[in-house]
This record gives sequence, C-alpha cells and structure tokens, in this order.
Amino acid sequence: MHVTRLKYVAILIVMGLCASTAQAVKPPLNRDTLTEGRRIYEQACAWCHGIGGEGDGPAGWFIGRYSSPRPRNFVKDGYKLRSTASGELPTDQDLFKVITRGIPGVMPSYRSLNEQERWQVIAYLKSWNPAFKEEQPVPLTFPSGPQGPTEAGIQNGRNLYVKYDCRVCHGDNGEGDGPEATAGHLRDTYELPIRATKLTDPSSFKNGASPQDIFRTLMTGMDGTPMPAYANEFAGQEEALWELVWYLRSLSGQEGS
Amino acid sequence: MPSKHAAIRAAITGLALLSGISALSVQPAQAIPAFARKYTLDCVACHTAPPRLNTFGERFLENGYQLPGTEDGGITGKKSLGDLSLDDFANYTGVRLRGNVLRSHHFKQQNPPIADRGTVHNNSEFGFPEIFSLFTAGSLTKNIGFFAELESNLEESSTGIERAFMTFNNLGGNNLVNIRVGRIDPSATFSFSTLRQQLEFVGDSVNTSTNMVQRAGLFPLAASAKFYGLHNRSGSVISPYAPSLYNAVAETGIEVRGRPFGDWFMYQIGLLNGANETFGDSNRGKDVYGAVRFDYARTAHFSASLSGFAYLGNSNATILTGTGQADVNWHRYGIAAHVRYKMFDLYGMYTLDRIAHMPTAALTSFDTSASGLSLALDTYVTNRTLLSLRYDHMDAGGDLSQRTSQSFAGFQLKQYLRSNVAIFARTDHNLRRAEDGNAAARNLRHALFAGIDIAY
Amino acid sequence: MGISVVPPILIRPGGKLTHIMTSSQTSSPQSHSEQATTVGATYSVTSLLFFATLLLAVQETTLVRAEPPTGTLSGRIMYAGPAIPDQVFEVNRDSAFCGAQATIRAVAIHLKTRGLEGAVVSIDGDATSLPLPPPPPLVLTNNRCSFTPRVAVGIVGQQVEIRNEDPVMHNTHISMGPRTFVNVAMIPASRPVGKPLKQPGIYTVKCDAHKFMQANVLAFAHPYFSVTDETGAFRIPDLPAGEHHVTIWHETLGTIHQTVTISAQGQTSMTLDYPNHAAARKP
Repeated sequence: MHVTRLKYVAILIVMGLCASTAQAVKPPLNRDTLTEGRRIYEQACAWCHGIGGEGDGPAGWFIGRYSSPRPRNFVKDGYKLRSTASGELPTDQDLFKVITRGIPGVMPSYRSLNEQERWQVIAYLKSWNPAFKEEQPVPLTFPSGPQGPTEAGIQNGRNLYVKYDCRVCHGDNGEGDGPEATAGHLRDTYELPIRATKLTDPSSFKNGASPQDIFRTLMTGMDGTPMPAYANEFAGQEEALWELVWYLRSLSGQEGS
Repeated sequence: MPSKHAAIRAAITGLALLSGISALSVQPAQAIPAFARKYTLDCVACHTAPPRLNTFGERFLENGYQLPGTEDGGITGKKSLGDLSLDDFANYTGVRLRGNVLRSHHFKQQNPPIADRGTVHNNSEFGFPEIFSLFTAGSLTKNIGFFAELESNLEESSTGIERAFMTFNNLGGNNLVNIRVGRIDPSATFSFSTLRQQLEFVGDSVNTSTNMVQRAGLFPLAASAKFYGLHNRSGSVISPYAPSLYNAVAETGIEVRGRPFGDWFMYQIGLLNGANETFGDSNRGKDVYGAVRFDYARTAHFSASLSGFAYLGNSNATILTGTGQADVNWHRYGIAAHVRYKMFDLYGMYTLDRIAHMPTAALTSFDTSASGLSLALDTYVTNRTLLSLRYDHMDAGGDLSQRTSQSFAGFQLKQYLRSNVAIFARTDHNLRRAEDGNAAARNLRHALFAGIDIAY
Repeated sequence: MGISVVPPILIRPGGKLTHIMTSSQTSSPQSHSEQATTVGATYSVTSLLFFATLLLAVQETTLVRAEPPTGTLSGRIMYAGPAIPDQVFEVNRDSAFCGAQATIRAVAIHLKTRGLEGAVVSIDGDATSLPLPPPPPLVLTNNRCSFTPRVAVGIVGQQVEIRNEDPVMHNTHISMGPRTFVNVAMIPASRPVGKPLKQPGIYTVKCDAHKFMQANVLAFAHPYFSVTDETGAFRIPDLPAGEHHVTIWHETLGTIHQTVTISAQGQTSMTLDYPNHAAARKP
C-alpha cells in the first residue's frame, strides 16, 4: 500500500517536473520562436544592427562614428564578449548576458524585454550565422575560484601586468594611455581605431567589472580587437591570474568580490 | 570698411579664445548627459549630433522615453521603496548651456530712422552663453512618461517653462496609440523638427513702439510665422520670424500618434488651445492638426522619411483693421523629408500659410498667403568636426507695406571637444541683393557667431 | 575483416568534380586498420549495427569496384612582371630585439628559374568525407619578429600550433574575414597554443604587438594543394584523373585560375607565369 502511494507521489513529482520544464522561459527553437524573435528584433535591435543583421542599421553608424566599436554584424562577425575560448562563438548565456547588461557607452541594457523575449531574439540573431549550427560553443572552465586579494598577491599582479605587456596598451597606471594606444596603433578587425580600456574606470568595462568578469575577459580575450586571450598563458596557474585581477581591481580602489 | 575689419579682428580673437578653451579640455569625456546617463550610453547612440536625433533616438522619443520595442518604464536602474521611487535624480535631469561667445552683425544701412538706437549697427560683441536649459524627463512607470524644459534666456531676459507634458504610450498595443498632453512641440516627430537644428535660432529685433522689424532673424524660415502685421490674441505683434503653428516651440493641447501598421507609417492628430494664446484659453476656437509620416529605416546605414501636415487654425490670430481688431484663421500646410546615409544628414521642409476669414476692408493691404523653404545638411568632416549648411527662404505675406521676402544661407563648423561639449563658428549671408530695399530682411547683410554648446 | 573500402568518386551531371576521396591502399593503411577495429568494436556491442555497416561497406565496394586512376600534377609558377618594392616598416616596439626596420618581401623570385616562392597551388573541390590520417600539426613560429613560415597550408581539422621563440611578447591574431580564429598572447617561452583549422579558406595571421608581422594560413577541405618552393616548383600527387580547376594564390600577386586535365598514372606538368601585379585578381 505504502509502496503504491509512494509510486503515485513519485509520478506526481515527475509530472510536476515535466510541467515546469514545459513552462521554461527559454523557448524551443522553432518557427514561432523565430517569428517572435524577428518581431522584437525589428522593433528593438534593427536600428543599429540592421534589418538583415549586418550591423548596418540606420543609427548604427553613429556608434563610434569613425572608430570602434560598430554594431555587431550577426551574419559574419566573431564575438568579443564570451565565456568561450578565443575564436569560438559565444554561448547562449553569453548573448543573454550582453542583452541583459548592455555594453557601457554603446548598447543599452534590454532588461526591459522579458526573459522569454530575450531568448527569442537570441534565437533569431543566431539564425543568420550558419556557424551557430555547425559549432557547439563550450564555455571555458575556471577551475579555481577567487581567493581574496592579499597585499603580496596584488604586488605580484602588478608584476604580471608588466610581464604580460598590459602596460603597452593600457598604460603604466591603467589609464588606457600606453604607448601603443597613444600612438594610435590599436585597430579592430575592420581597421577602425580602437581605444585601450581605461582600467581605472570599471564602469566603462565592456565585459563587466566584477572579479569574475575581469578574469573571464583575460582568459577569453576580446576577439576582433588587439586584446588577446591569456587562457594558454595561465593554464594551470589560475591563482596567478586572480592576482592580476586583484591588481586591476585595486587600480580603481576596489576590493575583492 | 573699418568696421568690417574690426569684425574680422574680433572673430579671430574669438576663435583664438575658443581654441584656448579647447586646449584646456584634453581629457576624454567622463560623464554623459541626460538620458545617456540613465542608459549608460554615449550621446551618439541617439543623436547624429546633438540636438539632431538619429533613427534610434527618434523611436526612443516616440516611445515615450523608453527603449524602442520595449515598455521599460525606466526600470533600468530604478530603485524603489514601496511605491516611492528613489531613482537617481541625475538619471532624470540634464542641463544644456549654449549661446554665443562672440557675435557680429553687419548691415547695409546703420540705424535707420525707425530703429531703436543701438540695435541696428555693425557691431561685434562678446557675450556669455546666454541660454540655459534644464530638462527633466523620463518615465514614471511603464508607458507613462514626462518631460519638462525650463529655459532661461539671458538675452531675452526670460525664464520659464518652455515645454512640459505627459506621455501615455502603447495604448491598445505596441505603438498603436501614444498620447502627449501639455505644452507640446507638435513637430517633434516630424521629418523636420523645429527644435532640432544645428544652426540655432538667432533672435530678430522688433521695435516695441512701431512694431516694425528692425533686424531680421535667422531661423528655419519654413517654420516661422512669415506674415507681417499679424497679432496674437492679446494684441501684441507676432514677429514673422517666430516659430509658429505646427512648428511652434510649444503650444498647449493634446496629441495622438502611432504607427499601427508597422514602422513605415505614422499618423498624428492634435488639438490645441490655439496658437498664439497666452496662458489659459479664450475659447474662441481650437486649432487642429494632422500629420502623416512615411519611413524607410532598415539597412545599409540608410534612413529616409517623408511627411506632410495640415494645421487648421481657428481664430488663432488677429489683424488690426481701421476700426479695431478682427480674428482671422491662420492655416499652414507643409511637407518635409529627411535622407540620412552614414554621416550625411539632409533634411528640408516647405510650408504654405494661408489666412482665411480676412475682413474685406483689409484685403487690399494684406497678402493672405506666405511660404517658406528650409534645407539643411549636416555631415561630419572628421570624427569630431560637424559641418552644417542651411538654406532658408521666406516668401513673406501680410501687411503689404512691410512684408519683405528673405533668403539666407548659413554655414557652421562645430567642433566636439567631447561628446557633450562643442564649440562652433558660424556665418550667415543674405542672398538677396543689397539694392533691393532697406527693409530688415535686406539690411542685414551677414552675421558671424562663435559660441559653445554644452550638455550635461 | 578484409574489406577494402574504396572511395566512390561522385561526378555531377555537368562533369564537375565535386567529391574527391583520397584513401588508396598505398597511402593510408593506418586508416584501414582503424576502421577495422571500429567495426569489430561495434560487433561486440550489437551485431545488428555490424551487419548494417558490413552491408553498407559491401554496397560501396560493389558500386565502385574499379580504382580511381590518379596522376601527379607538378610544375613551376613564375613571375616575370615588374619588380614590386618590398614593404619596409619602422619598428616602434621591441626594436632592440626586432631591429629598427622590418622588411616584408613582396615577391621572392628565384634568380635562375624566375620561379615564384610561396605561391599556393590547389585544386578546387569540396570536402572529403573519409577520415585521413591525422597530419602533423602545422607549426607557425614567431621567430625574430616574423612568422615562419610566411605561407602555411593545411587541411581542415589539422592542428595549427603557434609557438614563440623570441624573447619578446607576441600577440598572434589569426582571423578569417571579420571573424577571429584565435587571438592569443604569447609571452617569451610560452607553451605552444594549438587549435584545429575549422573551415577552408584564407586565414590572415597578424601580431597585434608588431604590425609589421604578417603571414597567411590556407586551409583546404582536401589534400590536393602545394606551396611552391624557392625555385617556384610544386607537386600535387595522387590527383584523380580528369579535368580540374586549379587556383594559384600569392599573398602579393593575388589569385589566378587555370584548368588542367590529369592523365591517369602519369605526370602532368603545368608551368604558369603570373600576370602583372595589376592584372591579377586579389583574393
């Protein structure tokens, strides 16, 4: 008797789980999702990214005018803001994060689209680039979590800042005024001039300013810009990279997470 | 001639001064003005070059200060405590300071008999940026927005609310019905927006006792009144250079607007207390207007629009007859277009004004029709330098003894020291021959201005 | 198992070669044994799958029993046009090590043969579906502030291995069009970075730290390609007989096309003069 009851309970639980899965916000990839994604895209995104996703919307030119960044071309561009290795496509979560957060200076946060709408737009914009069908982006795994910053760690972070030539673009004091930057040598993939991020101003960090964000940016690099990925340099020595993160945070007076 | 040299000397001094100012500001922009602050965006996300809007900015405006395609209600960064909104004041407030550090007018005829002493003579003077505007705008909650602009104009010694209204958006569906109520600028969403000109308004001068125009104004003349001898309801003369009717800076009323069939088509219907009403409503009659706009804005960095409006005034002006005042109906019809490709922004408007219900006694001395044409082109010539050209033409109407048509060409270079700080130098030239008479529209031969435009 | 899988050659009605397979008894015994092991493993799991596999294999062998005749295309690419000045860059970073100036040779012409070095000769065609023996990594070395080799060719799936032998930091940025393939920091004594070539095409290799460093990687979906040596000579063996469209690419001179007919079991020779710089079509 008890066993039967438990069975029923189990069935109910399983059914409940199924039901909640069916109501999951991330919609399945089907025609309805794409249609809805397209409707939202054309009302919210096409102004800059263009109706065909080629980054050529009527307002897009004004972002940066003659300098980087221009709105992303969803048809053929790579992606800067990712959790995946250099050269890889972003994961859906990466795209979701950008739409939700926006990019300081150039793209507003679209938190005002509800979660499902954001997923619908993502499904639609991915449909332009066939690589999304061929490749399965896998986020990099970051084995060790952040240790808190220490005096010695920050000092070592500074040493790494010099060792890895960060100062050449970002400047000795992180003001974005390194010799390469001031000489105007920095160019993006379209040969547009691009500024080195001012590391003393975390609110301008395009890929986020939390310790995890900075760590991820260093690991993945910013594809299409002169900012390389450091994942290979720090493979197996993630603690050292965390020290660099703490140093970068210290430039704006920020403590640990 | 010596005065001309003096003007040039003054201009050079002014420009040297400006470059001095620019040399002081070498750091890149730290803060970004007004809405930009709230959405953490650069000015050019919404503007081609402030105050001109790009397509994204236009749709943001239409959506009641919410991101296009959304009903954000200002939720971005919104803090609240129960029903109390504790948003950062700065996210709802912006200031703009603009005006001329130097201006120089050059006339054919110095101080004609009727002119006020000191107003019409060649002069080059330094000033301080004289127009200070305080904006507060945003959305109170989902689909309910507000806008208020307080302007203080040193030169006109006036301070007051310029525009102030509430917006109610997306009623009945996305972009189906949007309402604005209050002191609104009807042309805000038109292809040619009166208020969004790179070449700022330069004030005219009207003799207070004789009501004669003694110095011509430099305006987008298609948007201006164009009639000589019209008066407002309280009997004061309306300058032919005053922005009016559909193209007024602000009139009190209500307007409904939307894009029910998609982005390509917009309708607009408005009902106003009546143009040229002082505060309150004399209830002589309401003015109505309607406009349609067709848009192409999709791809290849290209957008274009074509719009038309009809504005039907009802006892919205008076004229003086031999025996007293008489109400007239003042109508305006206009078409406008814009074409924008990358940095290249071309826009123009043609308007035709008619006075109806003229008292027959006054018909012989009054031209009941007038027209105006304004064409403007803005383009960046470097990443930080904006070149603007404007052609203005007014085929004036009204009192036959005064009316004079006017054609001017303006040229301006604006240097953006930062996204929100610009200096400019501008010259305007009379295209009519100097021999064509001594009226103000002919007497002003050219003018030169240099100034600053700061938004924060 | 003893079943020799001979690849089919699929010919479109128009006669254009669309599907080339490379495995022959001589070139890839390794792949056969691998396949055999796979089939055996499958058997141990489920005999049903095994029979299906066997059936398919037999079907294939019966479809194309005859060995495809192959030949070798060899020859020389030459350039007799006007001299093209080398690009000279002022070195503005690490000049203590890299030197004050860096020169990028526009064209390298052999004195005796007038042959053009570093041209890539390849056959137009689609992907092979048969697994090839994994080729050794395509090594791209940052060496004395330049890339070695300047022109690297590989097959899709092949590992590109980036190395740095210099005592200065390099920033190797490989991209195809606007999409980055890999963009990695390479400090002195970095461990090599490897990544398989994803799709066929021309990859540009740059160093974001040293603007004067450049190279190209050309990836193909088939093994029929060759880079000319310092005498301009190239050789592509085991080409299926028949008519082929040949593309010749050079980083400065651009791309030219040619059609050749490969005779079975023989040598086909092709000697080609690059047209003048202006006439060549850039990639």
